[in-house]
Amino acid sequence: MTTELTAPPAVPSGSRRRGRASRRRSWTWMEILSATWLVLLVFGMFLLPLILHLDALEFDAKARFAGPSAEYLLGTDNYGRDLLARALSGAKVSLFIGLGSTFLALVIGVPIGTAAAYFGGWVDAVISFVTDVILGFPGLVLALVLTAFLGASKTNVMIAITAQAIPAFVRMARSQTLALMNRDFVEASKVLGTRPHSIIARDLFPNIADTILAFAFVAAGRAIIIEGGLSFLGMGLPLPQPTWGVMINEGRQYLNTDPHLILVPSVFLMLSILSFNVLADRLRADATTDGGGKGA
Amino acid sequence: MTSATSPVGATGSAGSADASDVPVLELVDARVRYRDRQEGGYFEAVRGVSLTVGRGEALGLVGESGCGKSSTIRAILGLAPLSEGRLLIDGVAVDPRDRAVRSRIGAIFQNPAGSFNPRRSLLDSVAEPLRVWRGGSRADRERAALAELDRVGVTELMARRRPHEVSGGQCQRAAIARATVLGPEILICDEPVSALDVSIQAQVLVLLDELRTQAGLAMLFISHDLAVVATLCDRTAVMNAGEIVEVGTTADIADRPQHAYTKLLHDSVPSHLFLTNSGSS
Amino acid sequence: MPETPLLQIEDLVVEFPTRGGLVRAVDGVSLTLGRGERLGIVGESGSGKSVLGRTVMGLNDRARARISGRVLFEGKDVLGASAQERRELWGRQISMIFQDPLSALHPITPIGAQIAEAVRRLPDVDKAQAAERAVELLDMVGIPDARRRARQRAHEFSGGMRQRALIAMAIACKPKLIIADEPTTALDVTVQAKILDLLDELCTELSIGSVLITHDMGVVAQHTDRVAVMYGGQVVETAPVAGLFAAPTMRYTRALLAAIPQMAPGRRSLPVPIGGTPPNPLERGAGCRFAPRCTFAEDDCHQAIPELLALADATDHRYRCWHPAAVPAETEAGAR
Repeated sequence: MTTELTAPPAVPSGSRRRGRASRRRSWTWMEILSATWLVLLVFGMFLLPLILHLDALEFDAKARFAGPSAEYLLGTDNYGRDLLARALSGAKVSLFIGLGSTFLALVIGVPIGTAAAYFGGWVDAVISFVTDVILGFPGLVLALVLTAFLGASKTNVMIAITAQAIPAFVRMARSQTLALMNRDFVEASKVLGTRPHSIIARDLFPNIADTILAFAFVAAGRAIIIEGGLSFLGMGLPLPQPTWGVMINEGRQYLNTDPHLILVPSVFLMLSILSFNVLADRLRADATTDGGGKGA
Repeated sequence: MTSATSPVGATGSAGSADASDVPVLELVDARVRYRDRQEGGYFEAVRGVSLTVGRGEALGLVGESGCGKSSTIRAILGLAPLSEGRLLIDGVAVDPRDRAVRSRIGAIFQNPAGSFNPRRSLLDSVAEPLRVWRGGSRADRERAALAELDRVGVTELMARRRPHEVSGGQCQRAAIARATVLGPEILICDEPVSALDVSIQAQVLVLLDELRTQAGLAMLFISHDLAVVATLCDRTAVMNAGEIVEVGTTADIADRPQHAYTKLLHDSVPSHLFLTNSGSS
Repeated sequence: MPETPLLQIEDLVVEFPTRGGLVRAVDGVSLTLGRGERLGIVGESGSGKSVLGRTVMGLNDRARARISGRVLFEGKDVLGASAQERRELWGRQISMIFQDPLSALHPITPIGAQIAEAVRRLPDVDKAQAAERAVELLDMVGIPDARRRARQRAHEFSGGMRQRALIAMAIACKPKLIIADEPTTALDVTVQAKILDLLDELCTELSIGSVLITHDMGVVAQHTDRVAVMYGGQVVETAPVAGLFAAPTMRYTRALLAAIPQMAPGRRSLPVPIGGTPPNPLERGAGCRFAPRCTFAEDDCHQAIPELLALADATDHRYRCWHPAAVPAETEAGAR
């Protein structure tokens, strides 16, 4: 019954317009809020410190653990530093490292995973083995070992976080591709004599992009947390540069007495990741026409 | 045991003089083995199958699931290993895994929408073989693809949609266009009407028959349904347990089946004819 | 006193709200099934035949589907039944057989245990008796070495064997009605023939009424007593099976029969296609549902939906057509 309803047998002349219309459907309030948050965040990152003369590093011994006030809009931390200023300053670094390293991991990991699934045999065996071994270690431990070798700098932290994220993308791309390999349209392309790189680029990538993209935003959140973990262990960006991860780790000590220390960076992080997810969903829905996607 | 010479031979041949009695496609003693992971040995899905398809001829290959008919055509299409045996096109032995063979054999599959990339328009997919084999400008390729789509009865409006936005019948027509756009010598049809509604099946069967009689395209037609094969094919081969058990003209197979399995298959096809008034339909 | 029919469907309408609008999947269907009778419902995809079957079973989500009309089982209302009454009905009185036996069976519970579970819905059956009965049932549906097979799981059975096991489960608690939705579509033709024969045999033996939902005219011809042809959510022709095939009256029924590939001697010509595409439930005109594809359609066909009329000489043969084929069958269906 559901098949009969979700896939009407005939698509009459009007449906093209219907497809277009659904692609241009109005924005939901979630999407509007998400876009607003990201715009505000970017403006805030660059402009607010100038307008409000914020300083992320300035100590105020008289206002330690202060709640929100006219002077400190979101309160202060254990040293009396302005939490808003720190969160905005941290946003630059956290977003750069989180999104940047995730993007790199995706660009490197997905082709490897897809190739493993496409070619199979020993190629797949080797790639899968290496992936499984690396995935055996917690991401933070891996990043820690790498930064210990490379030394703590912005570039090296980025490399370390990228490296720990790659295996997850490899595995994800591999399993998604495997599910497509036996689909008729991939075999149809093979039968037409299409070369492997063309099949991967035209038949496989576009059809796994959805899932990979959704996963990437989860991975970006994890990357930000791991960066914080590195900083906490003294292997992250050189202090005193604040990041969301650093702030969350520092605030953890005062969770019981002054929860706003951890709340402020956590809310920034959560809202940002959520916004990315909502907008990614929207982009995905726009890219797919109704009835397309993974229908089998 | 299945040396079947083509009785219809050279009907559609307009090419070189010597090609007239050479079959378009010949499969000699083909065997397909798969490694059996559980038992450790090998499982032989196709056990010495030989068949020929002449110019403009349609050969039906009938059998139930697991009989090896799918493995046979997958071997011809280079999707499964041809463990033993030879494939000849126009009398010349070729390696089915050789990419150059691909432009000479067209194929259509059972699931019409599933055989198209869901992210691309039907037109893009039909133009794809031209991109792979011919090159040329995008506009030229689209023009050629649209002409081929028009020939099978798909309008440009439909062609610009994605596979899930058109009906199964339209999709299967587009699949036929994709398979014939390069002008192959033979078309392999793997259960092309099984997934379609009854009223649409007939449309596709009539279209395939036109391609064969008008364009002289040779066909290897795989189906589990003896009745479907009987309406379209000149000769029919019946396959069971990896072997061809009977081959002959469709009239012989349908009206005077010899092998016990053919008889069983024949009697199992549900028909309503016993209830209709004889003489009219 | 007139006997209450086993199943009565009266003016049933099932609608689903979708993004594109309200889809009326079943549109005013009325059918009656006597005790032990075999009813065939035949139609193409989108005809509403599966939705009809699920509604009779009470399987449609009441929150999603809008249902009006009545379904009476032995005179009792099925649609208005409480959850408790409905559970009593399913399994005890009405059983269902689905197209895909693998997904209808539990993957890791042994087949025998699954059947025994169905047996235990009968009153006063203990565990040991149920297990014993399960083996008997498997034997009854023609599974060799039933005692050993009962301990196996679904994936160890072939497609045909799974469908046999499902039939064993369906008859386990001695139902009065079995609804089979495309029970053999996923099976090979030789297996299909055996399964349908088995179903016939059991229904006759145990006097179970059956509703066979299928797209296959040949299956209907051989395995039902009465047929309802559905198109666009409506019953367009209904008749005893012999009458329907001897004198198909509605134009769609005729066109459908001509579109089926046949292989009887002397008839091996190409089937006659029906033009166009199956109807879209969102874009129905005011007239006959088949009119847009019908070669015999005239202006009046597009104006109003024809009533379900009875043939003059056979009142149980009813059809919905403004310009029915003349009876007895004449030759125009053969002409292209």
